Amino acid sequence: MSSPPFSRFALFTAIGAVVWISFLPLYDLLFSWTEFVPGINWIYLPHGLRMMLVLLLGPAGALGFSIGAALYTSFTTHGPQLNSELDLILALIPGLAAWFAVMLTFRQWPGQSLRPLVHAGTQALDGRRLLLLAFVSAILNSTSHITTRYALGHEVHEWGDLLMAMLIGDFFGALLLLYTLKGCIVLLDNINATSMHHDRQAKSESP
Amino acid sequence: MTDKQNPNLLDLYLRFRWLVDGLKTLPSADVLSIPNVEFLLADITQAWKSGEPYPINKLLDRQEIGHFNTVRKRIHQLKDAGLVALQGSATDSRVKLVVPTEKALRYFEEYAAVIRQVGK
Repeated sequence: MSSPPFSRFALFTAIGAVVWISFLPLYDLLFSWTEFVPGINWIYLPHGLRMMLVLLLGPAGALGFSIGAALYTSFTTHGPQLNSELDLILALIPGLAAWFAVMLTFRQWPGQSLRPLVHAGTQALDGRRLLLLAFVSAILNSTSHITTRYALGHEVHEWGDLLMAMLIGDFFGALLLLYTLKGCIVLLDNINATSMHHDRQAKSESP
Repeated sequence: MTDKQNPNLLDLYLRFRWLVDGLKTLPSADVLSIPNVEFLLADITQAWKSGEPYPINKLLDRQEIGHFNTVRKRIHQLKDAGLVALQGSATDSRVKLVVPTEKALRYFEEYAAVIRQVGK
């Protein structure tokens, strides 16, 4: 039974929003000390989550975490908190930036889907490509975010300082999340291999 | 594909596997700069040179190099770096032998050349 494309898009959007809203409080709890100015941190782990949501869920993931970000900013005291319209635009920018970054990095232009790459089992997504994606999306996100803040808000901080802080925060936050996940995968592999090794040893020692 | 399969879940699972494979290949530091790795490679090459390459299980049990998991990880790092390969044994295809690749042999040749040059 195949569900219509709209319900699939809605489902993936909802997953993206829920994941974002669940992750952000944890991040704020652990990394609030890295805040430079409201909405800009020196280490921004959620940027890595954005990349993964777009890779996993496509444009629906981008829309999902944008909705999640808009809801989170309006119902908590975290985030830029400038004015409601600007907060909404600033919540949508990362979604567009991450989606464009994925399209640019994988040379899958808007309108094309990542699905053929996934189903063909190609090596299109390797570690180097992930790092490139982190860099490209950090540049797109930080420049568009800061430019919008300056164009539509009343920003009192230096443009260069904000841009540098956000670029570094997004890029290194994504790296930290990606390498933490890699560490977890390696650890799980090791635990599996150890139990298999012990099973094999127990079998070979039993009469 | 049967009617009971959920294409959304299948697609999501394939994308998840795709992402996990990508995460596994994130670049790491130069493998030979990791402690004990060069020693392990030399050991593997020595055994291969003497005509008795290590079966992977025997290598994993060598506690003096490190814990089983550490040795396993190092072997995979060497394999990913293209310095060793796993080869089926001629007598028992279930036994995997760890053998150095051309790249590893070239590395030792260059190393020997540097030592010779320093000795002159």
